[in-house]
Amino acid sequence: MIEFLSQGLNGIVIGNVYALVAIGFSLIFGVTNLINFTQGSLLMVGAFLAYTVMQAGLPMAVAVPLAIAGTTVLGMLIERVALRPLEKAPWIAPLLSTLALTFIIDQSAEIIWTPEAHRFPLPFVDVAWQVGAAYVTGVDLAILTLSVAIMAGLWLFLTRGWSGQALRAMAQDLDAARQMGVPADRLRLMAFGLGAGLAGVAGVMIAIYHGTVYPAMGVSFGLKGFTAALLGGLASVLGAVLGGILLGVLEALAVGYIGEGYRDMVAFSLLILILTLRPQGLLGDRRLDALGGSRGASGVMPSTSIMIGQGGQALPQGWRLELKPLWLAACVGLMATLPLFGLSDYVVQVGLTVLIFGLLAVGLTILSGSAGVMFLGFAGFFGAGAYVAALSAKAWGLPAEAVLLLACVATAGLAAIIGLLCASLTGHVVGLATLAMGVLIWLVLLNWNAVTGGPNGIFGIPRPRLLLLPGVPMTSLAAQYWQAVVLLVVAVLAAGRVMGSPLGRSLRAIREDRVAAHAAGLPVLRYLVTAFALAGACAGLAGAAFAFQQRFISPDSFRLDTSFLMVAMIVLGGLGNLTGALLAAAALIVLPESLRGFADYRMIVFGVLLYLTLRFRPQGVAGLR
Amino acid sequence: MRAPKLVLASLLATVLGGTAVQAADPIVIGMFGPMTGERSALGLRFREAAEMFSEEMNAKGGIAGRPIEVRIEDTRGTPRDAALIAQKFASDPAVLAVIGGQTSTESMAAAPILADAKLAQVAPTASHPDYAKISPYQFRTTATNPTMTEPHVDMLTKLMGMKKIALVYFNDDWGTVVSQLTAARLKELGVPVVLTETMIPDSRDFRPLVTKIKSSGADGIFLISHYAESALFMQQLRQADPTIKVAATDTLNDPQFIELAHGAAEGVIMPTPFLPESPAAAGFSKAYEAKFGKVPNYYSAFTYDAFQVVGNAMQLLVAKGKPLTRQNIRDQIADAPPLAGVSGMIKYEGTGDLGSRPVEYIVVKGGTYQPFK
Repeated sequence: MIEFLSQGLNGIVIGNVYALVAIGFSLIFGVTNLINFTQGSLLMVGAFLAYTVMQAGLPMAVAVPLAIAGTTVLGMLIERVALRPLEKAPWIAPLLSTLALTFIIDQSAEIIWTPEAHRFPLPFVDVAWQVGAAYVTGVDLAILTLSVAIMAGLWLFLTRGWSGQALRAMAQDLDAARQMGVPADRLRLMAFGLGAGLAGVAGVMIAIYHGTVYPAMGVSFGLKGFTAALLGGLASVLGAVLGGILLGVLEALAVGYIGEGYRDMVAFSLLILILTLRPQGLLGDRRLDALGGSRGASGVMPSTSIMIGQGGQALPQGWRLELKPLWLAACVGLMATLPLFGLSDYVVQVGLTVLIFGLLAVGLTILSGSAGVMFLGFAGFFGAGAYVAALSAKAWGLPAEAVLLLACVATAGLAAIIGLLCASLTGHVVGLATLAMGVLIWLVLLNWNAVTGGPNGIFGIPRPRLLLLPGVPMTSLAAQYWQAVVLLVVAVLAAGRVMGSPLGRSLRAIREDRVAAHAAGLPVLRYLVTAFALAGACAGLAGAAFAFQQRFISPDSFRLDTSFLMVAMIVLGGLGNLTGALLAAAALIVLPESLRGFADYRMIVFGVLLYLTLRFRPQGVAGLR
Repeated sequence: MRAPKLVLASLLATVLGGTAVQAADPIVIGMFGPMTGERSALGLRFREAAEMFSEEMNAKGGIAGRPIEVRIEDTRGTPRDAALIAQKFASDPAVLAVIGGQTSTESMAAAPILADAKLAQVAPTASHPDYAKISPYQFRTTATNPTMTEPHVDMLTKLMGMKKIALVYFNDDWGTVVSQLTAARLKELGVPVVLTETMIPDSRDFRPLVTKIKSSGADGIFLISHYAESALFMQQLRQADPTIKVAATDTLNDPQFIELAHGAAEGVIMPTPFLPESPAAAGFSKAYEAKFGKVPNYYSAFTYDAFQVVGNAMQLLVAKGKPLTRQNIRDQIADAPPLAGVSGMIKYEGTGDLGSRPVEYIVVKGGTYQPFK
């Protein structure tokens, strides 16, 4: 009992920190309907600014306000540069644009402050009280006081103040609020400044809490703050605090009774469970649900489409580059000649990576492009396919066709099950639920030591022969390359066929307006699960090709950044456009390779290019379909 | 920044090298590791060691009059990038040997490709038992995990006199293996392990873990983790329990560990093959500190030694009048006489693994590392 209560206390203490981070997310989402990925980076910048000012010899009482002011200005700058120009773009554009800024900020921080952890000077000695098998410190109480005070202040601001009320009105209907004379641009700028300032506060408090600052702190606390905000109901500030504490307590109990390794698994499973049962979060609002699912519940638009902008207007179509599937497959087929030009194996391997990501892009195009389910955890399926292929090829010595088929079918099955769970979600919620799904699969690969080898991965994966061509050795890189070309040609033909068929049209109808599709009698759930299974099949093939290419796989290859890379591919290419997706896959693999010379600046350049595309051509380079 | 300079230098070298005599062509050693991303703090140490080695060599006139050039590539810690980089090195005939990577997983992803290209690979800090078994082209400068088991167990049972042990390991390729080997050996000796827990990447809140350790009745902890996480773990542990004994692995032999722990690192004991003050390393540590303003750590030392292994083999080849080819370099590394590295004597006997190395024990005392007696 003592242990249980002690763990509960531990949970409240860390949950308190999560809550402080989550408040910033909720504020920005509540008043702008935007998920701001930079919140984590802002938190890190706040901590580092305070650190730098204190390094310069100034006292903490000066450093902390300066740091908060600094993050506030940076937050406003982000709104002005990254979000306002995208106001009319589909909601996925600002989401990805904040992601691009995250790359830029995090990488810049690594260059400025080095990637190492730094000691955060503490001008006071913290006191600790033992409570059972746990303890509480003065800093814990300070954080608690601060989050309660901020929560109360925000509540007063949002319900009593004119600006707060105007902000909430903007979240419900931007155009109407504008017509009523609300200075929307100025208020949004203010909301972002406030949110960023809160991130700065959270960053400084975390720096004091741990006594260290390090550039990677933004990512981990950002993700937890996000989860907490989502648990509580994205738009609710009180919900953010409750969500944070709930997350903390459950994590602590998971560590106490299952094991530290399962901490995040519990956190993300819980998130998925709550999203499935109660997509609006614990304190979220469901009143507007009839008008378009949980996205409508947060007050945006009576539509489930990911293609329309904040104000509800469709994107300008503009020119579009799209080849017929047959021609596209023929172009992919032409890539088969690459190894014949006497180029180095390095070029062939880059080509093979392009083919593998091409397969993934085809899968994600069906799921996110056609069916409109923004899947942010696709690397999970990729990983599942790779592990199934690696294990079956290594343990049973199956021929290549059997391995590919097995990976394909197993991953499709997994995807279909996940599809059943995700099908009822829409809008932002589906993005976050699938992000959690991706992390969850990664955690399973990392923790299921008996089967996946855990962090050691699987080593010595054979490159099996083909049953059809038993005389041909498949061990060379070129042979693997040609095998992948065949897979991609088949996938392009099949996907093209599906997308051009009545099934594809139905998927696009579901994407554009799920409620209307449902009302028109389409079996929405069945179609969505089919889309998941097709996407999973492509990811399974890609995973198998990857396992053969690498001969060694470990969970490191299937992390969140790989998922983001895939999403960037299909969005930059133009959602639903196979030609665009393949072009973008090629560009996003070849580009970072060719930027190797810039080593330190590579992710910054990548972020800038992503941002510029979203800014000037949000419908993707090749155009939407 | 350093990297663009390197690029410039290599560009310049290719422009000038076209007509210059062959003797002026640089000798290229490839190096890969996590130069950006969450592991980049370790990659930075790789880079510093590489920079120091090439500057020292070139100040001495290089090898056979040819300057040394280290080509650094960034894996961001991912095996996928490591495989691509390995292929890139393999395809470039100028690259004669490769150093890297930082983790076992990225080293092992690169290994089959480098082996196919007959390139010797010297991994500074990959300690996975299977790494050196991939082919005769894989070498390492760190001790393998199995050879460290006995020193670890000695430290826990004899030096510290622990009776009931809690194992806390970092959930990566290295941590799991060390934990398994230690647990197996302790079981043979009949010393009870009352708790085995893992730290997951990105985790910084260890209070639930501390509560669990307190409730388990352990009288000592074996901490198998990296310095930043361990510093936070120690802070949180000492708030709850100021007395429990803590022993750790050589990864905590880093001044940053003491600094980040805000005083909570006192009393932690660890074995180490690398002591910055030891006679073998003193010169290196002094030069390193003068150049980068910080004391070298475990990663700096093993990377520097990896370069020494390669550089030494090249010099021996030149002395024998043999051409500097990939295959010759690999063979020479395998056959080289014992080399005095900054982390101790290095000699490969039949495999790319070093035998067991003499180990010393150090303890954190008064904010610094001191020999443990």
